[in-house]
Order: sequence, then C-alpha cells, then structure tokens
Amino acid sequence: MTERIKNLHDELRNTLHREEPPAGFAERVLNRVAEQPVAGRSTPGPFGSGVTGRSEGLFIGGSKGRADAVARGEARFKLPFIQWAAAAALVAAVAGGFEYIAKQEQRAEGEAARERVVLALHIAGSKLQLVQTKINRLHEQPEKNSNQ
Amino acid sequence: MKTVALFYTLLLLPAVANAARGQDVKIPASVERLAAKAVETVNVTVDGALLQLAGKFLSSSDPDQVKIKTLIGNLKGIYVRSFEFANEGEYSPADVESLRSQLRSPEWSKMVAVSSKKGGDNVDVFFKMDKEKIAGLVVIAAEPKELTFVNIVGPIDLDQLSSLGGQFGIPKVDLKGPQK
Repeated sequence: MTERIKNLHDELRNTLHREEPPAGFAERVLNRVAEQPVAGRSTPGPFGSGVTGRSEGLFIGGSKGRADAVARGEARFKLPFIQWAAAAALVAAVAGGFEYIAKQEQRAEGEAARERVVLALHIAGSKLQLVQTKINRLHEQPEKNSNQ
Repeated sequence: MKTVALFYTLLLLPAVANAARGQDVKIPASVERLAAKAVETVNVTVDGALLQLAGKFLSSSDPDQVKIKTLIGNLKGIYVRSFEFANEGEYSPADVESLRSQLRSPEWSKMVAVSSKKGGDNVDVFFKMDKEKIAGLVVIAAEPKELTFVNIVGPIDLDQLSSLGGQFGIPKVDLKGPQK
C-alpha cells in the first residue's frame, strides 16, 4: 500500500515539475502585445486615458469587450448631436408656429380695424351726403319759385 | 384689499385721462344707454394704434385704398355711434343736447346746420380749427328714428374725404357746395 502511494507521489512530481520557458518567450509575448491594433487594446475613452489605463493590466487578452464599450461610448458621444438637432428643429417649429399664430391674429385685428375705419367713413360720408342733399334742395327751391 | 383697489385706480387714472383727451368730445352715458332701446347700433371706436394698424392693411398699390390710407394717416381717432330705433321718440332732445353742448367752445365752429320741420331731420356739422386747418369734424344727425354721432379727431382733408365717394360703399359727397 505504501509502495503504491510512493509510486503515485513520484509520478505526480514528474508530471507537475517546474519547467523553464524557452529562451526569448517573454520578449515574444511583449512583442505580440505591442503589435496588437490600437482599437483592440486601449483607446482613450471620453473620460481620458486614466480610466482605461487602470484596466490595461486586467484585460490583455479580452480587448473585444472593451472595444464594444468604446464603440458604445462613441455612439453615446454622437447621440446628443442628433438629440440637439431634433430639439433645435422642434424649438424652431414651435417658435415658427407661435409667430404664424401671432401674425394671423395681428392680420385679423388689422383687417377688422380696416373694416371699422371704412364703416366709420361710410357713415360719416352718408350723413354729410344727407346734408348735401338738403342744401341742394334748398338751392333748387328758390330757382323753381323764380321760374314760376 | 381696499388699499390695493385704490392703488390700481390711481395707477389707471392717467391712462383714462389720456384716453379721454384723445376724444375731446365725450359720448355721455345717457347716449351710450340708447343702445339698449335701439334695434340696430353701430359702435365704432378706432383710435391711434388701431388706426395705424388699419393703415398697414390698406394696399399701397390700389389707388382707392391709398386715398383712405392718406386720409387716416394723420388722424388720431374715429368715433361713431349710430342708433336706429323701431319707433319715433325713442331718444330725447336732451340726449342730442348733451352732445351739442360740448361743441359750444370757441375752438368748434358750426359750419352747417340743416333742420327740416317736414321730415324732422336735424343735421349739424361742426369743425374744429387749428391754425386755419381743420383739426376735427363732428356730425350729429338726429332723425326721427335714428341718431348718429360721428367724431373724426385729427387733421382731415375734406377734398380727400369727398374723393372717397363711391369707394368701399362710401357715398359720394360734394363738400364744395352745389354747382350753379
């Protein structure tokens, strides 16, 4: 029993013994990291390089997730322009609508005032015409009398 | 609360006084009340700002509208009250007198007074003169079933007014007197 345990122990020690990496392994790893594209590694986000720099050591192999996050950040950065444009268009439309209503109201008020002025002049004119007619009759009367 | 009401009354007094100054011949309350008895009432009050606005809505290319525009250009106000009654005697001579009495001041001159005993029509035309120019016109027409008061405030060109005859339903008036 002890013999079997001893053999197993030796077997495990042979299998799990420490092996030195081949020469230049560390350099090759560092070179490959350096060769990776910038977008895949650590693009400074909208908050500067401090935040991404902090996570560089954690995600050497998992840069795809970060790239997606950066892309989302860029989308977030672009979205306000669309929102601002939409808001500006909406404000312009509302302001234009108000101006149109105000102009329509002023136009209606002006046309009503014009009608009132014309009505007032019509009444003034008709009463002056009444005076005129009566004066004309008075002038015609003596002429008729003198002809008779 | 009373203090606030008094404050606002005092605040509004100058505005009321200015409005009254614009129309120097006031329409008495007794005359305004005739609207309740009348079968047809015309109430036209067009003063300063509204006259300017009306002028803007008159065409500058249409010669007929240009005449009205020119006529009202210098006016300060146009005030008309016309009451048409169903029966005779619905208004009293005192109502007419309340208007006429305001025109007895030296600045007003009665230019024409037509009274007809047969028809019962009485029409008075008053002019207000300012430096030999007409600065106002008032017409009071008291007919058996109709009372009309017209007050045009401001410099008025009678030639222009007569030239408006036949336009916009304004009757043609020859203010220069009958042709012989």
